[in-house]
Amino acid sequence: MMSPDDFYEWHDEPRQGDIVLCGVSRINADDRHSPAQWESLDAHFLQVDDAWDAGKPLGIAAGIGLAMVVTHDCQLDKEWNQRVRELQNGGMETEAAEREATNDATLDRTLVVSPLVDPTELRGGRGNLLAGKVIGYLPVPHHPDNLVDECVADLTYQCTIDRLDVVKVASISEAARKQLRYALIQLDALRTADLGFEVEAVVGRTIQKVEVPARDPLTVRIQLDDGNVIQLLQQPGTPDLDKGRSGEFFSHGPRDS
Amino acid sequence: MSPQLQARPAHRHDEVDMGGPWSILPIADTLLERRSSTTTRLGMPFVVPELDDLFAGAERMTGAVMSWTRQFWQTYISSTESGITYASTPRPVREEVQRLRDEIARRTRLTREQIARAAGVDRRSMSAWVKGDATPSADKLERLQILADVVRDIDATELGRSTEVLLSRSGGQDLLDHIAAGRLTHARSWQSLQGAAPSVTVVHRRSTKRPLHQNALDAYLKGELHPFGRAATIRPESDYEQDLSVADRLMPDEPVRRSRRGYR
Repeated sequence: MMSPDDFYEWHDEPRQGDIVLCGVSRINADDRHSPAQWESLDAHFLQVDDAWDAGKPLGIAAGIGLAMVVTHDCQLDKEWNQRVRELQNGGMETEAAEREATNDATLDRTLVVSPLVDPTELRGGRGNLLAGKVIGYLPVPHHPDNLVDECVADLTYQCTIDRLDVVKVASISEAARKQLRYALIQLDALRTADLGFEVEAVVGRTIQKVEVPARDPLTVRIQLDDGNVIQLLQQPGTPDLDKGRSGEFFSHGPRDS
Repeated sequence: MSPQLQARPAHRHDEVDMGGPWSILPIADTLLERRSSTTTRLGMPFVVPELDDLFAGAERMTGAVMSWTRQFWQTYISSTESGITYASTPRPVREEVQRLRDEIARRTRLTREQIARAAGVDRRSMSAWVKGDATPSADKLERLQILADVVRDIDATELGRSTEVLLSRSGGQDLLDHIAAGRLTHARSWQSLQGAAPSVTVVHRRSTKRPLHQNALDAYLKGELHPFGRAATIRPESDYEQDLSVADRLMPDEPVRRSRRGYR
């Protein structure tokens, strides 16, 4: 697990990885089962009797808790950006457009959070969970001001909430955000999300953008955060030795020369 | 012009002088339509291109819509010892829309999209009304006024519950849907609709353990924590675009694992 000094880093603006105090909820079945790790979050059970036309009730478990924002930064101000562009296209100055969009409380109301849970309540084993070895969980160290105990962000519980009902508790460093994004990718999309991260590890920079030029699809252009661009050339297939040139031709030139 | 009618200098709605002859209102009261428990208005707002037409309309005391332009005339009817006095204040339609929209937004937590939905339009159309780029039809403006009336009504009887009441659904529709569909009587009787709302049972469970969020909650209650706020970073449009057609080329295949016998 990262040290608190490496993990926590205050940022005023809302960002992916922020730790917030908010309400969370999930749908549950008639028997109101709560897994042990969510018991403190499931403080209230609501049953809407005729939510299903067939007379079946709808059960909702809800409560207050600490949670980590998993919505990407870009999504957090997507509607704001759209509104600013819309106003600019209508002839408004950039500054005025930003001000008007900022004052519009209806924009970007929702974000997705995952609650923080006590690792001792989970089956994965506290040690493994805090070491970040269990897919679906991100270890969170003790907060220097005691606002957050040592715990894990439970990425298997994701909940959409309203931005206006959220209190910011802490924000995290870029290194911690990388861990969060990696954990999210591994849980939700790609269990083998290694290549990009390995390239980042080798070059020691963050990849900002990857392009495959339409004119040259054998080339992959990787733009790094320091402005440098790595250009990868896909290895061509090895042609028949009798009829064509070998792979060595490209590295050493024709053998006969 | 009838000697009993006279035009009064324009005032803002909330600055109407109720002293002097304006304090005597028995006749006017009988002409006013009582729309809800908290608001009173004379029929529909009406528009007249010329002041003479205004007086003609006032003489008939019908308050009918005569024409619909960008000028919105707020009407007041009062009475004096000698007869009825008529006063009017021009208010651009866009100002009226903005006033109603802002009042509804202030009293509720409805979004502009939801307010526009009650008027039967989308947010952009309402925004165009406020900017003066477009003019709402009479029935759409009336819907907005009805929504404001209902909001004031709910506020007067169940303070703080207006958003909840407006969005509670019965028969698959909420109050905004009823107003948008022109079922205005239905909307005004929002209390009866509330009775038809689905019943909700709430069960509270007290945790035996100290919750993980207790310290943060204590800090919040002491006022040491602040709202989440909003993100506002200018980003290129391309940040919000995707091309799913490249997924097949760029995404690696998921590793194929052999299932254990009997496990699917």
